[in-house]
Amino acid sequence: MAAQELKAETTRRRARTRLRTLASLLSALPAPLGALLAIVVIVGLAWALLVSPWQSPDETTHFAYAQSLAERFALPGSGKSGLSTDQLQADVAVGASQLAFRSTEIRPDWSKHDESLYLAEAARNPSRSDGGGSNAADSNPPLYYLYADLAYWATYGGNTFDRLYAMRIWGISLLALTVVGTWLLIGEVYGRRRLPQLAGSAVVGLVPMETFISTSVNPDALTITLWTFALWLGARVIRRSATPRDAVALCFVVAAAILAKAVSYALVPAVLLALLIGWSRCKPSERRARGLYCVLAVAGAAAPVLAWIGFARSQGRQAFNTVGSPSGVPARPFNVREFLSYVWQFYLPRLPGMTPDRVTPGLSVYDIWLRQGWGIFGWLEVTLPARIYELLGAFTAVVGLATAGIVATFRDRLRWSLLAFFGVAVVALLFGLHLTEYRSLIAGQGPLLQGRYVLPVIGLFGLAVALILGRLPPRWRAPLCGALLTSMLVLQVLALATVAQRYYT
Amino acid sequence: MSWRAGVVTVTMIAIIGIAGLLIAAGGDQRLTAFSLGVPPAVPVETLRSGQVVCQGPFTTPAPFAYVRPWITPTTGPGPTLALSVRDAAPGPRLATGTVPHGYSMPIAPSVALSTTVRAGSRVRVCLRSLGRRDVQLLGNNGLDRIAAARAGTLNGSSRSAIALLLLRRHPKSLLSLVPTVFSRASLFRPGWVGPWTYWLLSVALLGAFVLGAVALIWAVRSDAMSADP
Repeated sequence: MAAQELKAETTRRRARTRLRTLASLLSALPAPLGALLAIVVIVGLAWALLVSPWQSPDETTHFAYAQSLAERFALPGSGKSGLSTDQLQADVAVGASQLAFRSTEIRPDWSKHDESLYLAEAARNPSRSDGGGSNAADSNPPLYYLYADLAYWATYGGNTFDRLYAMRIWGISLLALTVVGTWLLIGEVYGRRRLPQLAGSAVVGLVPMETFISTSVNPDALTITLWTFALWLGARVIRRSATPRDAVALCFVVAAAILAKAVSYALVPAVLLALLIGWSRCKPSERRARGLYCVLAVAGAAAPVLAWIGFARSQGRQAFNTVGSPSGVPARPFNVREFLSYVWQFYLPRLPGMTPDRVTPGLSVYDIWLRQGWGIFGWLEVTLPARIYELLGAFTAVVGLATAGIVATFRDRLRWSLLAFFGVAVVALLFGLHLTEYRSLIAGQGPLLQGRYVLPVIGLFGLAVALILGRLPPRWRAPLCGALLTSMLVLQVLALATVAQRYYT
Repeated sequence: MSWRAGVVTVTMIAIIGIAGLLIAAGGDQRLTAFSLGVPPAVPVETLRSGQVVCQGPFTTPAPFAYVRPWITPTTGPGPTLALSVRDAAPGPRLATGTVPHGYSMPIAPSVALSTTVRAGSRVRVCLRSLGRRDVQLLGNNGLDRIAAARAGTLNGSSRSAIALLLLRRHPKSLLSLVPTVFSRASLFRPGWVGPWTYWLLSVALLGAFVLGAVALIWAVRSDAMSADP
């Protein structure tokens, strides 16, 4: 009896300690950030629940990947069918694939009768483990899917929609972490100035495409979060002269990003540069020890990445997303001049003498990076009014030009070091993306870039906004911050209404 | 630095923004009552002279007064087609309409019905060719059991259905459809989600504007405190 009482008392004490820890963590959270996170959670929940099942780019295949891991404890590729009976039945019941690829006028009839038909079928426990076949996402590394599976397992007893929506709602945690990462990044670069931090983080957390992707089943959600943290940690490594803790954290975040999506290899040059700059800034007496820590951190972080590559090869699967013609022979050989022409035409009007190589009807930088980056929803068929994109384009251009003007006034070495780190990260990401798309084009597979692929560096957009706000006369800062935050919320409501109109009217 | 100017800005933009969105939603007229969820993907039936095809049975979740099929003429200008909505149980026609002849390109006409078909009816939609030339009806050939039970099938076949869009007699604004949107968005969701969830989220979204103002006040105060010597 006494033993039981002692055990109960210990349990109560532990619970009290946990509560106190949570309370102290919450009290350490800056109040404006707490309020912003509450806003982001509300908006994220609205996105997670409102978007019709599997109406996000490639959500069908990403769910299938996660289900294969959760049910078969195996990566997809070895099963017979791409989708399990469980998923296929739910997909058909809600007309998800039809909705994704067909006329925008067609939608499910949304009758309770249809739902009860589905529930009756689902009650027969259709197989969840007969999927796991090859799908378009099967060359992705598994980290994101394991993260998403935590929500899958938590709702294991439910039907497919219970599990799908649990995974989406779980994605709100990534959205919130991206906001925290941006807050920390601005704080690290710019100091603890709450107004600029609030403005920059609010812009990042409330870009409609960011909320849409983070609350979909999609590895880009985790990739964006990890890139934001990598940018923050890289800035710390540079500013604080590569302390062992920062160096290790940076390397492991980058390793996690690579294990979430292969595009994150683009972070490697920037991270090596950050470590080099951070190391060169430390006292000569500490260089040897810190250099050793940096090398060990890189080696330690490389281990899981190499393990994944080795495992993938041993299974006869690709460790990276690759492009190539079905026959393995490109339709056209790689040509540097042609690649440069393609990149030029992505960003600028075609010059006389250039072979037409445009991937969109308009200027691709506007059509893809800007319009899709701010928000085109569903399977890229749900668009905001054209005028809104023009306004967002103007806003983006103003932020870009103002930032360039401010950067031009930088004189100290530290700021240029930070700029070099951020610049290498952005350029490496864009170079990798354009190279992949060009290879796809010459392989005859068509364009593949989508606006969400630039979201990993969205934290830098928030940093730019904060930088501009901080340079304004003090009396302008609060009104401008308020205007930005509120305008982003209005944009969110508009985007949610557009999505609702597409699927439910 | 005062937070008042910031809060005034938040309030003004929130009021203007929300009012603008409400006005836009009030003016955004929607005609679609519902669709069968069958896309006009491929020709599923060639309708010959005098031939009748029927799609169904399906239950109507909302009233409708127009039907839109997808029709492709195959040999010259298309013939007149008689469209009828019939009770699923053999019985009288509930409503009729006509696709006039003379179309030489693929069309998706909105066929006006003689009367509005009520919600909750179990119906079939039939098309009969009144001319000599053939036309193709577009739809989907790969229906599975659930989809076939939902939309019905073409002439009782097991896997084919024609695409049909059912339209309202008078368009409704997006704003007036908000309860419908919330009701539809609560289907095929976790069991705890209902229309109330979206109403609550709407209130929370309005509350987010207030939270924005609160965040701004806290940020200004925090900066002011850290600026004090």
